Amino acid sequence: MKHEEIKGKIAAFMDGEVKEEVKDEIVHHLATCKSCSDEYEALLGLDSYLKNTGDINPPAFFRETLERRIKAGRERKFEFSILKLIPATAVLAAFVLFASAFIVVSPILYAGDGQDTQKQAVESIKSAVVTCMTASVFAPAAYAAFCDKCGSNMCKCCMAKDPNHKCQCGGHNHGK
Amino acid sequence: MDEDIKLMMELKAGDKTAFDRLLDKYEKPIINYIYRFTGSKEDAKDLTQDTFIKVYNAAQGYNPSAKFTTWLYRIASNISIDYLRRRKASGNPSSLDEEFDSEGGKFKEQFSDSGKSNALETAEKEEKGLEIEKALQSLPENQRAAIILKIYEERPYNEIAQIIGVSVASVESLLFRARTALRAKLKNRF
Repeated sequence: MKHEEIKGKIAAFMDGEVKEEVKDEIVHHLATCKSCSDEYEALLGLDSYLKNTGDINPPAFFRETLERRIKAGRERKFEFSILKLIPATAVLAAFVLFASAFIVVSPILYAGDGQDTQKQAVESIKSAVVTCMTASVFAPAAYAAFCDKCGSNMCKCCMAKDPNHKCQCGGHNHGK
Repeated sequence: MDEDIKLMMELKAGDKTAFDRLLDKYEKPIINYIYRFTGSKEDAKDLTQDTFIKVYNAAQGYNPSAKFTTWLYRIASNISIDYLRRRKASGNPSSLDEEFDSEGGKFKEQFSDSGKSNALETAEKEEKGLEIEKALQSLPENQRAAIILKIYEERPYNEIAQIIGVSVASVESLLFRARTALRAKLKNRF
């Protein structure tokens, strides 16, 4: 290796990070080159000067505080996961309520203002609600039956309002 | 199996005493590493706790893909870098000046109160320590991490490379530049 290359490797040599064959070459070069030998001494001096600073110690009650923080973190994590669930559940519940209310009142909204039609719509809603209440509203099958009944009521009301209206809910005749 | 990895596996299995043994071994090196990296004694304590909280919380999913110390120092480095960025963003880039003032104040107090000659020595040592810390703080983050890991933590180049996420050749170059800069800063001091 050339002089400049060896000079660039002195720090790595000092850190014990050069290969054996390079190490021998550097040792030999340091013995004969004053400039590199001065560089080596300067680097050694710098490292030793840097090391000459006192360490700090962990403060009193370090572990107690750490333990408390770990415990508090675990509790916060649990609370956080509960808090994360609350909005999602609330949004879902609000959506289900809104959708259910809409499908329940839709026969009245669409059945027009004819008294017979309105009466029929109200009767249909009552029937849908009673059907639903016989089973848990949270049971998916009961909720599907409730929606189906509401859809059928809607169709029935539309047909009562307009005799030319074609059944849209699966081919029921709705008494016609 | 590496003893530290074994301790992590024991912690993963629910043995809390394994965590205490890891703390016995590493709390002091980590607090000093963070202190030298950030230049703040006070915040180094909290940041060291943050490091060990991360270690504790990661134990359940711990998979020994690297040496434990590499992983530990990487966590400590990331926490320190985040802290330095937050400090910079808050408009208080360095807390060393405050410490320098407070240490200076302590020295004056000691010297005038006791009049003992070792007070002067202690003060000189403290001043020297703060001067070194100031010189370290003037280095770019990756050079600072590399020099602290080499000089104070005596980590080999390949481990430093993994901790700071660069190649071994880059570590050599970072250390060369860091030493050159420190020599210039601490000229005539050694």
